[in-house]
Order: sequence, then structure tokens, then C-alpha cells
Amino acid sequence: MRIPCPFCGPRDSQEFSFLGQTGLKRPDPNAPDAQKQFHDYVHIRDNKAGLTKELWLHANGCRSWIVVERNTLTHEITGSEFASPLTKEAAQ
Amino acid sequence: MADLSLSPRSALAPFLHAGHHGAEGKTGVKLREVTACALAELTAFKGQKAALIKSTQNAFGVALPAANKSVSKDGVTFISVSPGKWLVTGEGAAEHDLVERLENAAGSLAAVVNQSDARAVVEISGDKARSALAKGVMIDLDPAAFKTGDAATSFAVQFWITLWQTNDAPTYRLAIFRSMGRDLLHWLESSAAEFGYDIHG
Ligand SMILES: [Zn+2]
Repeated sequence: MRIPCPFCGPRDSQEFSFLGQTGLKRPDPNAPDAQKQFHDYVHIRDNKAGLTKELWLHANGCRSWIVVERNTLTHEITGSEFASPLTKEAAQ
Repeated sequence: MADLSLSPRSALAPFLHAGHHGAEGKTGVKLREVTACALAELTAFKGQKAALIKSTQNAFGVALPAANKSVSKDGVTFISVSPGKWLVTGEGAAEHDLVERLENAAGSLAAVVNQSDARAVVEISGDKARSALAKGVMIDLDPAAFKTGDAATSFAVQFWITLWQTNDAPTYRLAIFRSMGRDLLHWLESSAAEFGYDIHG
């Protein structure tokens, strides 16, 4: 599988490490149900069949965090972008 | 007063055995460590990249290269490694004052980190250099895809590398963490053995 890094171009997936789905929000530790919220935050994932947005780190490359749009049914990768607007600015 | 000046110690000298090795009667590959070479990393601060490009242009006479590119002038080479970050090498007259010149050019626009004692640089050249490297380097080194002046941060065997091509011989340079130098050499020598190779001490 090849992943298009927005900085380096297409690279072998072995250069990247996978974090997981985007959009997770760290719960408020002072909430009354904080324990359950943290359980879900750490362990529960959507496991979507279809288009997903995932965080990958180009660890053995430019070391940028990127968001990759991937279809889990076909493995087709339809896009990628820098996870941080600061990285995007520095890449221009 | 005692002389306190320190002289650099080669990362690879104990493991480099000068002479001909591998297949006999042919030399497809030449290997050497690039010594007398200062190294530094230059990282633009938030929002300062454009100003840094202008400032280094004034100080070094070249524009900082875009992604996957390197550029050289008067013994100084800038290699793009990450968004807003460059590995810089200084040789010849540029070896001794590289960090100082970079710091002056960077001012409050960028961080300069001396890497001279952290990385080792190996040069591999010859008409079979591409074939020897291709056994472990994960990017496409075909001249259609990777030419003189091109650069990449990538993965080779088990090493995080910075790779750039310096001429059409072809000649490549690899920068790695210096503690990995011995393993990198071991792999390069295994890869080059079938082509015959010379080590220049
Ligand atoms: Zn990258």
C-alpha cells in the first residue's frame, strides 16, 4: 500500500505509523461519568465499513502527522492532508 | 594554558577497511565516509519561513530548497527534510563556521541545532551505486524519478535516512544517526559486494 504524504509524495506504507480515527475528543476528567467517557475514548472505535479519515505519522520520512482518507472496503486512498495547519503553513 | 580545542572523531573510521572488496576485477561502487563535514538542522519558527528564506538567501546566496530537493553553494548544502526544516552540511572552508553563520542568518526566525556529532554521512558512487542502494532504499532511484539535486527522508533496511544525489555519476550521500553507521556500512558492503567495491579511507 502506498500513502500520499502531502510533503514527500507517495511513499510505501512501511514508512508510516498508524494512530487511528480522527475526531476523538478528550473527555472532561471532572465530569460525573468521566470513567465511562474515558473508557469509550480509549477503547471504543467506529470500525466503519467505507470511507474513513485516519491519522498517520510519516515516522520514517518527514515526520509529519497527516490525515488520510481511506476506504476500508476497497483500501483505496482518496486523499491526504497535513493534520496541523502549522505543518501546512511550514510546507508551503 | 592547555590547548582545549577539540578535533572531530570519525564515526566510521574503525569499520572502514580501505581497498578493494567484493567481486574481483571490477569496481561498480565506491564508498567513503564524508569527514570534515559540519552538520546542522535549521527549523523555521512559526510564521517565519518566508523571512528565513530571504535571510539565508542573503547570507549564503541560495534559496532554501522546496520539498524533496537539495541545493549547494560554496561548500554549503541545504537539504529539505521536513516542512520548514533543513539539514545543512558545511565542507571545506564552510566546515568551521557553519553553525555560527546559520545562527547569524537565522536570528530569531529559526532554531539551529548542531548535528555534527550526531550524524554520520556516507558517500556512495559509481555506475552500480544505484543498484546497490536499490536493494534497501524504499524510494524509486531511477533517473526518471530521482536525479541530481533530489533528496528524500526515507527508510532503508532498518534506518531512518536522509538521502540526496550530488551528481550524475551517480553519487549519493546518506546521513544517518552515527551510532547506526556500522550497521549501515555492513548493509552497503553486502549490497555492493556483487559489483566489486572500493573503500576510500
Ligand atoms: Zn512525508
